[in-house]
Amino acid sequence: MRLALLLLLLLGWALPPSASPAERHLRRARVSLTGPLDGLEVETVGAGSARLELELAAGERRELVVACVPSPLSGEEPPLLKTRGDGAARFEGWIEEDRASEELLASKLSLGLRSRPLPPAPDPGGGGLPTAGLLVALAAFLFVVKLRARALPALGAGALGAGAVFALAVAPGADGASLRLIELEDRGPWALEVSVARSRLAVPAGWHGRLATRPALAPVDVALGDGGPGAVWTLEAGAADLVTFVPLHLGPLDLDRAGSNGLAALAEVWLRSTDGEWSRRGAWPLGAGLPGPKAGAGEPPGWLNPALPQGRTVLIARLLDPQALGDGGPARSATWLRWIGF
Amino acid sequence: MGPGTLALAFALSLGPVVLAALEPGSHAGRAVSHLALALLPWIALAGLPRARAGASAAVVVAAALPALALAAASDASVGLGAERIAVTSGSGLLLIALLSHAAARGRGALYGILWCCLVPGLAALSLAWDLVAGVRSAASVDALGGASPIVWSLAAARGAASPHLALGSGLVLLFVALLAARPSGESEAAP
Repeated sequence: MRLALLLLLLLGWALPPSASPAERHLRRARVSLTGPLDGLEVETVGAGSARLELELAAGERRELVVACVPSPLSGEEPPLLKTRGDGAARFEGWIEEDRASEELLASKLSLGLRSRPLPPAPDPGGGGLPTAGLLVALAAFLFVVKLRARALPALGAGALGAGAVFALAVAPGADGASLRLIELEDRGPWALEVSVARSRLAVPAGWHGRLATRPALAPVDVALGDGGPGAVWTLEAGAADLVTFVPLHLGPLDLDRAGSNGLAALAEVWLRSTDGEWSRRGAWPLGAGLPGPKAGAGEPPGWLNPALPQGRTVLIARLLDPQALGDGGPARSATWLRWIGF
Repeated sequence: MGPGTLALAFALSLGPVVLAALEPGSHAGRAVSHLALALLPWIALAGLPRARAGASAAVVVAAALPALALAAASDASVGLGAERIAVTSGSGLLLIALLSHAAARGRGALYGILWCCLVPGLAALSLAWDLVAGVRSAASVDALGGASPIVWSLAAARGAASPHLALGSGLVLLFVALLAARPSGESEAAP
């Protein structure tokens, strides 16, 4: 019996604290290109690929930084380069400085910050069968078949039907649902920015660092675009969830119970006391003092309030401006703060 | 294409959108273009050698439009770029028009053999190379496979793919079909 208990304890120590997805990294690498080239694909076998669109004339040479996600199983072996065009591409090596800077930043974060439960991906919407679109498409098709002896009326019917189908079936705004959660502990100054989305997640062009997918080993493709100003790289993971982790240096955090809000305008705030009681405080504008408890649901959304450490005060808040705080990366649908030891 | 073939192509081209809706969140990869996958049955069937002339190219394109619009709406909803959707739909419709016009005009063994080589043949060759070599790395093999309209639509489903070679194959087929054109009065009669 004692031996069994000991084994259980050892197993509990060996396993990670939560069922978090395996950590992976977006790594940058240098490649040398010789034209003529229309595009380049960087493939890491079993882990995904990166696509780059470019126009390189015959004989033109260029050195570029690309990024891809190395396979966690095969290590960081050189990726396979596939060119579009008759030119050539050569892998010059991973940028080793990235790894050192990531390790340095990760060392600034406390264990508590690094082991918080991950948020779920927001529902991208736009799902479900587009019944109206399907029915109109079927009706338009049958009408075209009926008119098939007369080409022009058939073409007109097909085009009209297609226009109606598109208008009915398109769901604008279904894409881009991404969520940002800024994890804080005590008085900072370091925080961890966790961004999560289903299928696609934009990161600033040139970004490198830790990421995760759910399921853990889902292939991650990277659309590198053309690298223009304000460009983003888009991570694509099929139907999987994508999560990126960015350590943030927020400096002294100008927000506490006694003073005024000097951090950011908060649209909704919940506080937890040391004895575990939640109170809803409503909006907390910039420059104002902490609002008093409000009536109604006292607890924050359940996904933000899993098994958080007991005996400590907690603040959970949604930022009024999702782009406030951080380094101004790609737009997110919503930004939340989760602050242990507030 | 007769009414039966048109109905088959229509039903198959609804597949990507319907299957993705039945399995929410799967979308066979949200970066995958439903439009390019919906083009596949039309491209595969439009140029099929046939005994009778069948529907004109305009009618085949008209019949394809509603299902392709549904797939394009699905792509737009998940954020695929408007430029990619426009290029894929434009190239795909042009291919369908070329192939169906070639099939409507073409007759004889030469057209049939050429269609077998350029459309399913190159696609099979490309697939065989993938299976044998594991990863396609030679640009010449990519280019050879890309000349098949079927391979182009599959490549366009994954990302931006140049349609030039596939359109070239369509033009070659049309040229050969026009050389051995069937009599103009041999088109399908209205029911």
